[in-house]
Amino acid sequence: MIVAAGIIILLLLLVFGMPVAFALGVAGMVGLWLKGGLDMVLGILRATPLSTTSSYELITVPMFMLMAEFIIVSRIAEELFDSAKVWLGRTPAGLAIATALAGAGFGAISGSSTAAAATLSGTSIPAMIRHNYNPRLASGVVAISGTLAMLIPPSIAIVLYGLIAQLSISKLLIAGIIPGLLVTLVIALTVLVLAAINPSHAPAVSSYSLREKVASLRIVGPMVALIMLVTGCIYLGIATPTEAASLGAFGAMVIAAMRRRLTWNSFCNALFSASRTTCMIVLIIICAQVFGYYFTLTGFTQELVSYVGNLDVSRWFIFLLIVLLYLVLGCFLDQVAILFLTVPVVLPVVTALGFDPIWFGIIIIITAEVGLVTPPVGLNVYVVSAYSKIPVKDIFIGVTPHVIAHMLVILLLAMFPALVMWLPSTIVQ
Amino acid sequence: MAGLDRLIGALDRLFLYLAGAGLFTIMMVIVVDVVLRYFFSAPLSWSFDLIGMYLVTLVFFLALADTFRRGAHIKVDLFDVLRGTRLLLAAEIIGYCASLLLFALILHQMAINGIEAFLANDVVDGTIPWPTWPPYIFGSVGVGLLIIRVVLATINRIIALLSGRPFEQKGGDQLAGEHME
Repeated sequence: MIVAAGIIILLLLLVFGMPVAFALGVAGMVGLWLKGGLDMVLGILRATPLSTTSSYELITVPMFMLMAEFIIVSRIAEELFDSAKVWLGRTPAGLAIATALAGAGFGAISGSSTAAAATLSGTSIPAMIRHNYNPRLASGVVAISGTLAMLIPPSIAIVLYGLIAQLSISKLLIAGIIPGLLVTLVIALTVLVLAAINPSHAPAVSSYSLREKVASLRIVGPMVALIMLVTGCIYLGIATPTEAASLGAFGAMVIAAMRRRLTWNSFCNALFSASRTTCMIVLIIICAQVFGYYFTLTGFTQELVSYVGNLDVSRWFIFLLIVLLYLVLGCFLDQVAILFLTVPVVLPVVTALGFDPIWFGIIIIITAEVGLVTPPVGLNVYVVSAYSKIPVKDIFIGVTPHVIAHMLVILLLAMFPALVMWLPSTIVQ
Repeated sequence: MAGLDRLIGALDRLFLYLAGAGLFTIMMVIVVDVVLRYFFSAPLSWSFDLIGMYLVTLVFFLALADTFRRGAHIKVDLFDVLRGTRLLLAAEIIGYCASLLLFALILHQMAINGIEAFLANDVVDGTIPWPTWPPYIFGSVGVGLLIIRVVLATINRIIALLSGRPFEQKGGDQLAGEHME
């Protein structure tokens, strides 16, 4: 009864448009009050806000945010597509494949999917349309390529999952590399198949000289430097994720300054934007903690774990249901909200069934990627539409083959967990 | 009301600058710490406490009100078509009133903790005896300003509900007529 009351209040507040953090906090407060009275509420509220914010690991989030902001300021990402285009333009669907590679490259230096989609919309869609690419194909590949930033380190979503699940953020970030490359490959293969079916939708364009190809690589230096500062430092055990994120933010700021893009206004706006996003996330973390105490004290999670454990069905069937649940939630909810609302409840069930939490984390991040491009709330699709003026409906249609391909990737990772688990097992401690 | 809103807006802005400065300081301190540790074997012994205790709390709490003002707290937008209708306004008023109770309790607990720590001259164990009360002050000030912002947003909705005038919401929770940057 007490559990139901809290959940109903939470759902009502969410449905009526309250901020997710407010909804979690209020539902947790009411639930705790029903469970143990005002003293229990005050006891939890006395310690939770500061104990949550006084976390050194939490700093990884604002630092990755800041890194993403400085990358946007530097406009380095806009040259990624141009560079990839020079190398791949001559092949069929070359510009679309270049978009996928630029998305992966952006993902390797920034953890923001919407920023990736916005940047690619401004660069690759006009180029593809100019070369008679089908608008649906062009916008679809941009929307899906933008999501790669969620998976390839530095990924803010993966850090959040690690904070919620209390797992090694280093291992989680490194675990995203191979699946990230795999998804990039699958996006490229998907556009190749689409181009093979209808060559006029993605024609080959002009070739470039060797000199132009070499000149296009000028972007590689700063990119490699940033990748080494963040992913390299984490993998080689040189720095903790928090330190690597700070080095990455600093490196991105230096690159923006060297490219003469860093003005006082852009500098302040980057700091303000990162502060606000951090604030939004930390408030959710605090309120999710309050809600989590309420769930723990009512014993709901344990009962759910025990109930699911006693079901006479294959654990893979339950896994399939969970993936479907995430796909459905992804259609309606923001990815950050999904992580905070579901992981504290679902993860104990998943681990009790014998699945690895790091592997599971990568799987749900990929389902979250799908959520970014599925109607009605596919955020990346709206971002691409806003920048490219291509109707939302056309982009949703254009991204559908990629959604199907993502399902195959999830299936592949479920069949071969080593694709996720091998690289983190080789991290230098 | 508009004058009060401008005053609160100025405070939002000031706090946001402080939060941004805190974020920049965090980045620089960590970078310097890593460089000193790896190249000079001389890490900053005070960086962990300074950042974990003070700077993160400063960044988070002082950005609270501005983040709310700009509507940057994520919501479920399933019923956006109802936005501004009397039903949703009434639901939002109830939700904000309940949120006000939550934030008031947090503020109360923060303030008590801060005053107790200040009066007891409470410090952390370590090479530098950092006082423990400043984070509570950051928290109290930040949550206090958020409460004022939520009160303003609630009043705005109550006025719209009672007057029957269309509710003007420009993405955030600021009052009608306020400049969005």
